[in-house]
Amino acid sequence: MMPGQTAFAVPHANAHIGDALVRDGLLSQARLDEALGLQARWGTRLGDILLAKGWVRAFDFYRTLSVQFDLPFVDLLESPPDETLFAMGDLDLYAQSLYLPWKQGKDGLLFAVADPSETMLAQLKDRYGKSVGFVVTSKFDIIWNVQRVANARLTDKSVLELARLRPDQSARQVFTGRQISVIGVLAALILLCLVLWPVVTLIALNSFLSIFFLLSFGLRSALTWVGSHRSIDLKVSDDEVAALEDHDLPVYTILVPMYKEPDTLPILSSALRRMDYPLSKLDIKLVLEEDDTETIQAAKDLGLEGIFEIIRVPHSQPKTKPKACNYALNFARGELLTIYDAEDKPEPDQLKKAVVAFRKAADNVACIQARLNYFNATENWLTRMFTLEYSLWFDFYLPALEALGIPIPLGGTSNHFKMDVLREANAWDPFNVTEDADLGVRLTQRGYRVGVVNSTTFEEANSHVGNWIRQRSRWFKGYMQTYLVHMRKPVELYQSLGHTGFWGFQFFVGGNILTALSLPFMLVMFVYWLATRWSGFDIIFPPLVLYISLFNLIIGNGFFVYLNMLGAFKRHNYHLMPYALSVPVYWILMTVAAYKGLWQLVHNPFFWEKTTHGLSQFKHDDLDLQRQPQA
Amino acid sequence: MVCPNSNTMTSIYSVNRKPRIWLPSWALFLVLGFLYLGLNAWLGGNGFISDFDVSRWTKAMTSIDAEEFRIEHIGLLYPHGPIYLMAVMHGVLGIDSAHAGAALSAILIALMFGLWNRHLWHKGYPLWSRLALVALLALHPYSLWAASSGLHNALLLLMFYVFCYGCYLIISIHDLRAVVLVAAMFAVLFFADERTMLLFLALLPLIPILAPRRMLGNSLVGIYSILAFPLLVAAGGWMYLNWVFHGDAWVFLQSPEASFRGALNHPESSAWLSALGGQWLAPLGWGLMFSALAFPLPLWLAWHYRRYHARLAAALALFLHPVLAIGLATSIFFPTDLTSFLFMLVAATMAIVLLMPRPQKIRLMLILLALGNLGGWLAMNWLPSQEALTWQRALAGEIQPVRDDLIELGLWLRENAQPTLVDDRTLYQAIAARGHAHNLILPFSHQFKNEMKRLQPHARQIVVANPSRPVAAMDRVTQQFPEFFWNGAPGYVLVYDMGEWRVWRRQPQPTPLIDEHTP
Repeated sequence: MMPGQTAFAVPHANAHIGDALVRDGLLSQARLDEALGLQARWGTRLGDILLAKGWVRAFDFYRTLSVQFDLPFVDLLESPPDETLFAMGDLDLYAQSLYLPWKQGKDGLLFAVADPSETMLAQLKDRYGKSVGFVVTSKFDIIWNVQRVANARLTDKSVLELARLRPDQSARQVFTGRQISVIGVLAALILLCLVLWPVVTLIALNSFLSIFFLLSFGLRSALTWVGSHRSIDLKVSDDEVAALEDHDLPVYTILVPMYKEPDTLPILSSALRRMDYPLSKLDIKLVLEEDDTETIQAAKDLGLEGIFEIIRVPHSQPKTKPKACNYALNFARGELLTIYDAEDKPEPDQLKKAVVAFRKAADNVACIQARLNYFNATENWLTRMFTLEYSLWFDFYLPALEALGIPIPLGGTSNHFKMDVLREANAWDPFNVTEDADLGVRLTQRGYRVGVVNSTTFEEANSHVGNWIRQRSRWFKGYMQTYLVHMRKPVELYQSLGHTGFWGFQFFVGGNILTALSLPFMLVMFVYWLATRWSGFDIIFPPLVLYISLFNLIIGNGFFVYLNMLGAFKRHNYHLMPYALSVPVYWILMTVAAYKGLWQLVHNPFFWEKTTHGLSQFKHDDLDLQRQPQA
Repeated sequence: MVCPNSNTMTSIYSVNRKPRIWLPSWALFLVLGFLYLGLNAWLGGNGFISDFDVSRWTKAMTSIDAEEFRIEHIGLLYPHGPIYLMAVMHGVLGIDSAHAGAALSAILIALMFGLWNRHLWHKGYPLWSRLALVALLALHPYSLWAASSGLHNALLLLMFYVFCYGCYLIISIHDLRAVVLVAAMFAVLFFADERTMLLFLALLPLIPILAPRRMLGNSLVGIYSILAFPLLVAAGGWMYLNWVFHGDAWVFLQSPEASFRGALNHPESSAWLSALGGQWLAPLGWGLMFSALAFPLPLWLAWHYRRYHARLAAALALFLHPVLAIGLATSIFFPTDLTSFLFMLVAATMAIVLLMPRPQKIRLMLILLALGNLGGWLAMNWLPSQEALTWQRALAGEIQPVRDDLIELGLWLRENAQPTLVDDRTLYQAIAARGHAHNLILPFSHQFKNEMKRLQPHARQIVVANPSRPVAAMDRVTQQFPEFFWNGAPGYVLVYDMGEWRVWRRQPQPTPLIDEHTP
């Protein structure tokens, strides 16, 4: 069986395994009948369905399976595999096809398999020779042992694969030698000019900023106009979703990276169970750091169904979410993949909508981005601004970026990928703290596109200023990393993105950074002048620069406030519209975060500033705490 | 990349099969453009030129020809849009006649009808009907007025059509972009015409009728906010600029020179204001009556739409909008006559026609348009402004008297282009006749400000008005040097004397003899 592929089960074998489980008192007849019905709809194996539903414990199931196939059952925890038999080049196969070499038997190599079907055994015989033998074991034991044995190798791959294969696209090196030289020369030049020709230099700098802000305004106006067009969104209707046949659906891998978030697990698992998707086709990975014992224990205590797999990420630097996702990717078996954060609540039909969206979109669409919104939008001023910001982002900017071929900085959650493309692009950069933004650029460079689908994932908006700054500073740092990485070879970037994509990248990624960093200077100047009407500034505002600055001040700022109002209006968040007037205050917060990000870029570039979740006073309206497999 | 869903905007158009033979809008634009240019040439030949065009042309010219171009030299007492357009014509194209404003007006109105032709074609109107509709409306007295009475009217009518078309889109496809278009249009219009705020205020009670029920039902305040915010930013920005450059945010409303005050400073010069100024109900009534007289077609169309609530409401709202505006404006002594707002019904009519789902009863529409053309002349002659009367006389072929003295002065100043102290507020016609503003010491310059601090002027040439004439009260130079007209000053000789104006020139100081042989 190839990774991700679901085969129709052999009916009589399934009937046997089901009957055997009933006979052994491990499963009720009613449940067996229901499972067989689901099997007819979903087209997956009976065992997958039983494990997905949590109706049978994994240990009991695989033991019964071994009896059915007349093979020995082995508990790999009690009888671990011989590590020397592992072929490091086959680690992906072990993890995705769920088998591994166990022991050297008298007659040949013995493989521990979770799927003892004839197809699987035949493939293994083809690969390893006819004299191999098989034992049955639990898939969880296989995953656990692959991690245990190959941790170092898998970790090395997760951390360094991109840096080895494409060092020019890895943020492992923050600044290249050439970039340091350029920055140094530029800084020295500016200092020298300030000393020799202070007024002219200040005018030049002022002019540059003014024109830059003007062009930024122009770009965002264009994005707003293009993005507001209703037909830009990749709309999937309810009818199209309903027309899907479950047995046609691919296996879907869901990565859920978490760290020290045991309280969110019950909510998360409940949300994922509610997904309108055949459970047995969900390949859910709870990606946990190995030192996060409380969350690991919480996951174990919940007794989650077979569709949830715990992937323990070994401790290594950098300790980042993309590194963890890269690690988990080794074990992913789906044809499509998405990432959800622990606090996310995706709309139940989001996976199906993504499937339809991929099928409707052009072949080179490699990623579908769902919309994000916040369930605690009205908690306080900060959450309202957060919601406004995201409404603007998803309802105007993203559809426009998509339409214009400008690289889309992905949202970090609810991005749906084609697995083969993701692996081809070497997945995420573990050194980049906004790995999603970076991946968006790399995909665009390879000629892939990102779509936006009309499905929403609800998240918790940051309600504490300190927490918000931590999160936002990481985003700014990541944007800076992304900008530095992709501007190492600007000519190549231009050639790969084209004119619109290149300049869109400059203004959207680089522009965001520059705007946030330059805001304090402009603001201090403006406030000081307002208060004192000091004429000393006149000299650095020659007429044209003055007029552009006035235009930016009045029209530019007014426009951005208006955009936020429009975003709220479009989403029917009318109560948020007045808050758009306070957007300039929000920008000040962004400036603080930007400078913090800049500081960290220099002193601690790979540090993952963890955002604390669960601070909201708004609670989820449901909590499905415990799920135990029942006979 | 992505196969978009069907374009809902074009789906409106695709309801009707487009006629195979169609008149390219650009061809119609060219034909109408030439016709309107011819009209303006006829009027100009008969001595008519819009006072607005002359004054704004002077502003444009003086700002371009000044040593340093600064927007604040133009002042912030009137919208800058027309001035910028004229500045481009003078500065870039090198035109030196104030008739450029009239030429541009012709082009803008022709452009408007070209647009309408295109929109009618999308609705499926056959060629002959489009030609007839456009021709009749283009010949409506209000259209002729807009194309030849000043760039501000042409600009306003074109942009008002954009507004009306935006309303049509709001009603037809309920698209947020259409709402934004309308809102943005008002913001831009604020910088083009001082009637904008009145038009917006008149629109406010009509929004519940124009906006889709779904949008209204969701949030009335929301839709008002979306529509109003850009204009508030524009107005707020203008106040800020007034504060920055004039020291007071309200100067543009308080200064007697400000066009934002309309006819408030001299209502007695307007027959309309003399009769109805300060009232709102009576002007509303008269406005309604003459609107119906000049534009019976929209009323018939509204009746035709009576079974379709949304279209009926929209037609009535678009029709009533300029009428409400005239009532509001007259209550604050703004407009000089009925025409200054009602001519916008041309654009409203165009949009109301578009509300028709398919071409129907075209002949009846043409008859009503023709009747409206006749009614339009009646409406124009009800308490008309002086300029409207002059315009009509020029149109009829009467040669209009021009201000010869100012033109002569301007021509003389062109021949004697030495640095000359003048106040453009009173001498804009002379400056326009001069053809350029080089070497003029104008009120925005430092030199002028320094001269105003002196007891005696120092400029090479100085133009002053007869203090006993009313114009002297407006002329800053005369106010500063009241005796100069009669006696000049030591070192100055009189070099020009005609009508109310004199020009004094400072004689160069005699050079002392230097005799190298004198011990």
